[in-house]
Amino acid sequence: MDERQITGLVRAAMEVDELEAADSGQPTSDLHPSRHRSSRKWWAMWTTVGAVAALVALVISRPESPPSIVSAKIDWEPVRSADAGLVLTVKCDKPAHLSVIAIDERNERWLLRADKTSDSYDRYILDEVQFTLHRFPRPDSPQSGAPIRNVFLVALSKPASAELLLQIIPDPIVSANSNGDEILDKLSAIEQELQRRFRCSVWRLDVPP
Amino acid sequence: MSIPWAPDLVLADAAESSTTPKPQIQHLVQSVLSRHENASTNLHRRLVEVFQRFWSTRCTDNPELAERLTADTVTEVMQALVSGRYDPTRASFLTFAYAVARRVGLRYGEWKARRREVELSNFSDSEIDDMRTQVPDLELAEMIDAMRSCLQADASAALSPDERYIILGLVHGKTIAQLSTNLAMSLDSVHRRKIRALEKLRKCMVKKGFP
Repeated sequence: MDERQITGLVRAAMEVDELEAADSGQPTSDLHPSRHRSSRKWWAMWTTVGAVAALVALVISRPESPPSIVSAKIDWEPVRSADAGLVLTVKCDKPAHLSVIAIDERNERWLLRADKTSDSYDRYILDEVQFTLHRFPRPDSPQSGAPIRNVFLVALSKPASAELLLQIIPDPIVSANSNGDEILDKLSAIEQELQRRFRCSVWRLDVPP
Repeated sequence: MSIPWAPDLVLADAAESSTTPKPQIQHLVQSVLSRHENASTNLHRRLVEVFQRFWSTRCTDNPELAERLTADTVTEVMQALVSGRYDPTRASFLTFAYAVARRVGLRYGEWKARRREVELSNFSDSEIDDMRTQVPDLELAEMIDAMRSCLQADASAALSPDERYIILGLVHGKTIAQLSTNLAMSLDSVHRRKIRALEKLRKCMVKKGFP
């Protein structure tokens, strides 16, 4: 049976299909291709491709939500290298670059990048970190160092430049003759400014006595 | 055109549409073969209805010809039936009736061609083949039914949707280029699918005893 015979029989099969449809009053069966059917297929294909492309574009263009600090605590605990130390435990909802800015009793600010406080935090892209802020003044701390009074925790998706962080926090944060309320106001202002500039999660912790 | 066993009113009644469910045409055929009363009249009316539509869609500019071909077809189908030339075990009745209609149409075309009123190029290759080979109606009906079975989605030929679309499209006179555009495929892809589909159908027909 050659191509001509086969196509002749296919045509006949289609015509019988028409005849049956005419007899039964039903539309012809799927033996009849139509442009509409093909067009539907065409549109179905492009709709699928379009939907996938839009989804991919959405995923690519969607700004990554910044990490948030879920919990943080700071407390005095005995440490091996010193008689006591401030142990800071921070938990984020996703890996974060954590910056720690300490304010000492003399209202001076210290930028303590978590990666620099200990070798174990050198990558500091962690969703949970615990590190120790040694009692000030530490042996290796600047001579002007004084006990820490407050700590700012800044969780960022990308490391922030130290320069940028320090621009926001003046040093000292307040003038020497400022009273307690002025210091608190300044700490609140710094917290808000950090949040505004970095659109990030900022926590302020008061060091317990 | 005379229709020996049908009163003239049959053609007039053919256009009437019945609101009651129609009996299966195969049942009407069985009734005729069992010589039930009025069975021939009922089947005749039904065939006229069907073939009037069939021929009128093919002779849109010549309703007289459509009527003549309808009458010839119905007459020959009924004659074949009562003379025992139709075997219900070999082909469905409508397929058989179609084979008869096809022969009637080709005979008319051949007659017109002999009178040089139409060119043979107006006919498809397979129609010209049929004119030359004169396949008996029942045998042709059997082959058509076999092909219909092969074209079913769950048949052994199991054409893919694309292969099916291409084969049916070609039969409807679409070109490979048109199908390529419709299916958003390259010409080569369409051609490959066409060859594959033809091969599947050929194998299916061989399995059904039509090499």
